[in-house]
Amino acid sequence: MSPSLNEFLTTVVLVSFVVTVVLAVCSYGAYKLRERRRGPAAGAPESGPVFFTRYVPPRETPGDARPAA
Amino acid sequence: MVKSPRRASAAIVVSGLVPIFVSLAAAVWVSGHIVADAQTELQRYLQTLMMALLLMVTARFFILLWLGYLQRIESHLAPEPSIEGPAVTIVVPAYNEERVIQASIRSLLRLEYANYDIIVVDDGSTDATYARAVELEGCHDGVTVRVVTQANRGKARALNAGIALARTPFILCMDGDSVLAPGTLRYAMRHFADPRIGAVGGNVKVINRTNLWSRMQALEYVVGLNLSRRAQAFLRNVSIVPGPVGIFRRSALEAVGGYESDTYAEDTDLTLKLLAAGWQIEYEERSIAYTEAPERLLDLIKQRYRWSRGMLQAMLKREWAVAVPSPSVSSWLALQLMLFESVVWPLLDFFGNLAVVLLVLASGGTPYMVLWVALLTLFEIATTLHFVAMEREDLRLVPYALFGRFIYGTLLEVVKLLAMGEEFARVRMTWGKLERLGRIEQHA
Repeated sequence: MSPSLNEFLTTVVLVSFVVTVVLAVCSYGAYKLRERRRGPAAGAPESGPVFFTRYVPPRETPGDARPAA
Repeated sequence: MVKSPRRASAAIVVSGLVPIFVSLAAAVWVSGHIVADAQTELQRYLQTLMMALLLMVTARFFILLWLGYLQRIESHLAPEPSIEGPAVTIVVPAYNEERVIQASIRSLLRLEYANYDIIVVDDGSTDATYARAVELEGCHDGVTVRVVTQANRGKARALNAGIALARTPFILCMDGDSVLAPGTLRYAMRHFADPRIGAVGGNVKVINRTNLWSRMQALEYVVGLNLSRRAQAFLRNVSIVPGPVGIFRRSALEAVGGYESDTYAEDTDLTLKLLAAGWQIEYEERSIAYTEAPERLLDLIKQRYRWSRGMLQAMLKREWAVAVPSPSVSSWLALQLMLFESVVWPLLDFFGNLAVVLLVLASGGTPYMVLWVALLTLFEIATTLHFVAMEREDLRLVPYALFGRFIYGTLLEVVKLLAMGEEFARVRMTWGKLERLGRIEQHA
């Protein structure tokens, strides 16, 4: 393998890895910032931590699900 | 001479194995030279890490590949299933899916199966999801579509409401933003002839292959996700029945209490509960759900952030079960595999790649090191060819494998690691609904 090709490929490996990591970290930061600005989505399921509630399917029609008119 | 499509497929798959073996053998040979060239302590340390990465890549890949190959043989030896079978209810939870809900329901009306009905559960949408679903309510050639609505309580509770309304012995749970292939029920239901099978996970594919990010995901679904799912299926120990398509035995669902809302990965959580209760879980490659993948980088990060934290939550819920093979060996094995795939593997892969880069920096880059990277890339492409052929997928996806390991993979691993850090630090998290682009409507 010629030295120039070796240098070129080495540079490609280095640059692609560093750029990818920087892109990932910056995008992650941008995502967190965007979510913070948006706040909780309207109609999002119960805000705050979701705690364990075991659901036991009832035998009859469930209380809060109503058939369409 | 190849005479049948099945033989042609087998020939493609087998020929795909040859370059995989050759590129890996060559990578091992090159690694030997790199280690022999070590000049300093630091170089030796980094090279050891690199070798460890290579060994892990090799071991992980061949174990998964071999088990997956056996699963494929087993699956294709089974007789062609009929459209007759036990009754199934399809539960479609929907929250703000007005752009895709009708396409989703229409795909269900085209299923090749004689005995099923559909329940759409609108989870308090703030858009026209309910109204659009109601337009398709009624009986369509023997298939009843029923639409119910409830105050917004989250996907898990919407699914539970639908399950409670169902009166059939089998239930298919899916996402409101997915469409199913016609053979989905026909192929999945044959597995339930075995009374030990509690659920069957389907094959999820990306429908919108419109830009770099969605095409990379399409490839990831074909190669990465199916690779481990097929292998787990051979052991009947699938660790995630995916949200877009999962078929369950009703008695199994009732026995474990349905879906729970205390994690952000309700599908993973339910699967682990079923395994812990002693049920076996299968995978059916021909039960296909087409789903809309994020097309923007920030949306992709949002999705993976939720998946990473959700899976970690499901595992942390069972912290003792991770350490002790109880209550069942199969659920313990599934947890171990999940722990490896979602925590250990991203760590190892990221730091392995980092070691390569540091080694290049420390030594200035030798031809062997460049060759090592090139061979691993070749390995990636060969692997992709193998799976694209096996799944009869679009060959145009293959060039994207060039970016697979070192760019797309690294990017997602960084996101996973940051998300895991936040989960351990108990940073508050909200659901984060992805905005739908309506691609399903365009493709259906």
